[in-house]
Amino acid sequence: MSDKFFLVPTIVAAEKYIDISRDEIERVLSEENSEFDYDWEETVIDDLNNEHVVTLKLNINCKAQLMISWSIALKLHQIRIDGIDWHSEYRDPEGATQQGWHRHRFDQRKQRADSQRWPTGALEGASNRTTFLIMTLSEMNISLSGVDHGNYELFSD
Amino acid sequence: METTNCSQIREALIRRLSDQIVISTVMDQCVFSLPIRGLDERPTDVFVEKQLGQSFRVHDAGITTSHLFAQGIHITEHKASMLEEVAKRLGVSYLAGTFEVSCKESEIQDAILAIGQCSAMATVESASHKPVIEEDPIKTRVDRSLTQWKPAYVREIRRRVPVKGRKARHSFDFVSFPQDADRTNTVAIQVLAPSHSPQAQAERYGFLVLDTEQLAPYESWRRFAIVTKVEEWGDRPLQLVQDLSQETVKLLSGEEKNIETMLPQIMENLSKAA
Repeated sequence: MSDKFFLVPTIVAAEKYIDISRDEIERVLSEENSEFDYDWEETVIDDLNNEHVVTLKLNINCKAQLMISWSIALKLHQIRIDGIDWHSEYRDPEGATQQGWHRHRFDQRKQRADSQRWPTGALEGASNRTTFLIMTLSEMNISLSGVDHGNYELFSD
Repeated sequence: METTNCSQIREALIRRLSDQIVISTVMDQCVFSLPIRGLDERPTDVFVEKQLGQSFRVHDAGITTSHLFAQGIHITEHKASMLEEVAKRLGVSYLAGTFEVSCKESEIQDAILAIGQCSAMATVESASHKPVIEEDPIKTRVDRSLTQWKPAYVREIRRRVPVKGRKARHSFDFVSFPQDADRTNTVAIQVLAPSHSPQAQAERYGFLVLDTEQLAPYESWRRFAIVTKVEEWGDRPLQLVQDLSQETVKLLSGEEKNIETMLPQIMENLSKAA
């Protein structure tokens, strides 16, 4: 089987939808020592108008008290293809020294997004989990369901 | 090697290390970016937090664990035990995803180096982390099976077919339309993954069915539900899906490929059922 990394630019640029509400993500993240881990199938159209179905994964970690430790990542084949996190200092791909929040960009040659970091103002003003989710998901073109189904466990037998 | 050369190298090394230690402040904590590179091409940040009295908390703020998770490396119980052992041997601890140690002012330098070393060593996992090329997604399998199955009595198989209910618009993943609707049935297929709430998935499917029930042309369509990761569903949502479908296939994780052998016979039966 061949990989689908050639679709990464299309996937990253596309508007992606996941069928889960922000409240539900926050409930998951609120559980002790919890991380958010969600897979879904996304249909992507390539440049030649061919349709591909890919399995994507969204991972969010908001465990630590300090927001600068939080991270969000979109993965294909279990490899980060897009994401946002923080470093006290890093070099952007043009060699300039940068600080703080940055977005990881996929490197087709290395087939990962670990080393290409571009500064992002996406987290400007973020102060809690809710604003972190709103701002990072918006930056990464991921929209959520507006319908929160609540905690069904309350009604289970 | 002459002693003088060693001293020069030492001096140069000290200058190099000194130049590369970057200091910043975050939330009243000193952050030291150390020239210890992890295998994930990430700088090593160590935080120093003043506590009551003359005590300091030196830690990585959980960044190592968070960034490993972002790269696709999940800290399992086994990996956590290993990181706890690494931390212990270096005189610090690994607790709830954070490398940390409390120390006196005179011990800060050693603590910073130990936390930095732990943080860098934890990235060893990233050296063996490789892409996992999954098998085809279930919808690709269903699509391929339907194309291969398509008999002469089927006019067309469409994907993502919108349906207009009384109250809302919905869609079926696939619909098989017959040449002669008087002799063979239209079959609508819905692939149902547990998503984050199987109950919500089942109820959404239920709404689709009830909203289009007794409404032409959908009233005569046969509904075929393909439920994936059935081990995550639970009895009640699964029962709801079954009650609202003429046929339900339940696939355990890893059994997705079975749909390709099952689908032709099920489609044949549903298309020709009275």
